[in-house]
Amino acid sequence: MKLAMIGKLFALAVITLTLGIGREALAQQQPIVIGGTLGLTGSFAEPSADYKVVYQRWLDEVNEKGGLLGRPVKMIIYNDESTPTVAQSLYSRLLDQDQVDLVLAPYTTFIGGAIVPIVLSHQKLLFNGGFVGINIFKHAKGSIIGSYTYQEPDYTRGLFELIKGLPEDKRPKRVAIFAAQNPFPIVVRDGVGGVGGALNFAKAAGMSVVLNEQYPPNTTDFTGLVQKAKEANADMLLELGLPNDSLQVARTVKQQGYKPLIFCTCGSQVTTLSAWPKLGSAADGVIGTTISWPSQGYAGLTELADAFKKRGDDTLPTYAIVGYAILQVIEQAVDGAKTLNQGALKAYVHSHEFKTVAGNFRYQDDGTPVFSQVVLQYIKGKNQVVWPKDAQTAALVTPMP
Amino acid sequence: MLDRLAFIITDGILLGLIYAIAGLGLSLVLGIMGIVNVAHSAFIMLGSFFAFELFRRLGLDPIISFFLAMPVFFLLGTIVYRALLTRIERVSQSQGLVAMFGLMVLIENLSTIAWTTDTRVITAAYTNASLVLGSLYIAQVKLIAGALALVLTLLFWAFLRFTLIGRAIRAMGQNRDAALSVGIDVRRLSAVVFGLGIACAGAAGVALAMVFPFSPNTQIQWLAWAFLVVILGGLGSVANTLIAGLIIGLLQSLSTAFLPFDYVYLVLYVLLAVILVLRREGLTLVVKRAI
Repeated sequence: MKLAMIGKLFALAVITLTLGIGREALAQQQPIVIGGTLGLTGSFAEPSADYKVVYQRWLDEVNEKGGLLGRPVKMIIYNDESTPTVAQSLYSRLLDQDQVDLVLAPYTTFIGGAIVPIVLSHQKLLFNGGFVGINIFKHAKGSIIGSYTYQEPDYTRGLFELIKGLPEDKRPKRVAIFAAQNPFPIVVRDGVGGVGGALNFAKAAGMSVVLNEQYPPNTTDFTGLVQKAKEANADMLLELGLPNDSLQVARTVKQQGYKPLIFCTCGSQVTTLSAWPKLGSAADGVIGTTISWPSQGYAGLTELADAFKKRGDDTLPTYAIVGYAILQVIEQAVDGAKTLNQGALKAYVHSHEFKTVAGNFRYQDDGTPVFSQVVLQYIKGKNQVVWPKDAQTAALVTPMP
Repeated sequence: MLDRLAFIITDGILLGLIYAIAGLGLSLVLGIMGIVNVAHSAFIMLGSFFAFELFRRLGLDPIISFFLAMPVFFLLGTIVYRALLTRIERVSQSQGLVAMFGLMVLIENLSTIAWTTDTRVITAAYTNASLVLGSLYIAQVKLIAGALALVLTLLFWAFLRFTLIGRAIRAMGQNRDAALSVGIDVRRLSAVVFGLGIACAGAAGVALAMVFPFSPNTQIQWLAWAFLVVILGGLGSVANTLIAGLIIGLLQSLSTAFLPFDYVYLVLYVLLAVILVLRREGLTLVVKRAI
């Protein structure tokens, strides 16, 4: 009896010691360093804050699971002040001085486009949950790995797919388009090389474009523009702008009593931002797009949405989805390829499927995931999925309430 | 057609009234004191957040916040005058400009820390409602903001015209040395003028927040509008500032209706360039005067 007891105590001591040494060994091992920047101050601080939250969430989770390749994971995220030149010098620092193992992209094309040459010249892959830019992806020939499941030319694709599925008498026929004078919304409108873009989708759907206007980024008042769309009897309005513009356009549409069959703020994922519900009745009936939605059942997405609800967000921001998804891709790629070698990782990424909160990714040659999108309509204070059908949470309300 | 014209003119006037108050405080401070207050728009933004916080925390209607903003921002303006402007009174115009620019950056950064760069909107009961006259839809919130702008402009005009302090301010604006020689306390009066300018910015911020979305970063766009109003209207004249705002509002409204929207801002900035060429003396007078 005594001997058995001593034996048990000995075994316990050995296990404790082994676990202790194991944990210590993990801590002592050189960490895998993932580096990037975010515009934590300046114009892009709002979306960058969402990225920061999901980065920390993923980092805690992955280290709790034992890290990557048995090594702890460390993240260096500098503040690029929402300025491309600052981001450029910080990426040089990350690559030359900090010598990070894996590189994360910053938020938004304006900043991201500026740092791509620096990262690629160091023969590093750029894991990109931060920006879209079909031309940038194509030039990088698969060395930028994205998590946005649609690029600029496809921003309105889901909407036109949704319209295709409507009964003939409910389909809009006259389109008005407002686009901000910014390279990004212009590609959303025009597409690239005749492919994609709202104008091409509208033409293919047999709709006539009755108004096609561009506005400068510092536009304050949209009353005249909305009035023009109303006078042109446009039964579909596409607002292809950034969040601030889209909020004001939505408010003006309501104030002008303009009720098209479809009104989509398709230039950004503004209907998933915290300011949207604050518009009150002007927010109702407006359509927007996002990457994925909890009703699609992707693993971890509901938990992520809940975490943002606890932070006071009424709805899950798109930035949180893509930011978390790219880290899931990194995790699965490193685990699967069992190396940090960039060439091997690239080959692995391009030949495997990844299960993320943004969907199950298969990568195309240019490094973008295969197209998928969710079309949302803000109905009675809540975003509802109206397309695709298999994830639908409510029927489309048309015309605008 | 008549309906359309009526709409364009109404919208232009309402927009113009709002633009006018964005430039009113700037015009006053620039015209009377010779200070190029580039931090003016930062105080406009603070006014917007003042209304936002009162609305969010206390449910206070922005119309009430508009009137509350005047004394609060007047006080803030006099504090800033005492703390900063008295120290840079004798430096060159360019150094003063840099100091005001620094103040603008400081306010913007502190606001970003306090409120982040999230876009904010204030949606009161009347924000999404419209006054419907036949086929005309006039946003109630614009009518209210326009009326408040008119009230503010009239208050300033009456203050400068009919009160003793107002007359002293005008005297100081016309000839500072002469004002000193007849016993006007120029330094104290300068604090009042700067306070009034900031009070105007704060109240303008409340009116703008009723109509437009805002964040700490969007303040800079109002600086451009404020300068446009000041350059068109000249310095220190309330009536001219009002007329300038109305011209800009009407021009924007008419251009939007009859030109592709790309050209609207081009028209406005061409107007700015033309005025700068034709009325250059308006600004050179200010440049000659040290802070």
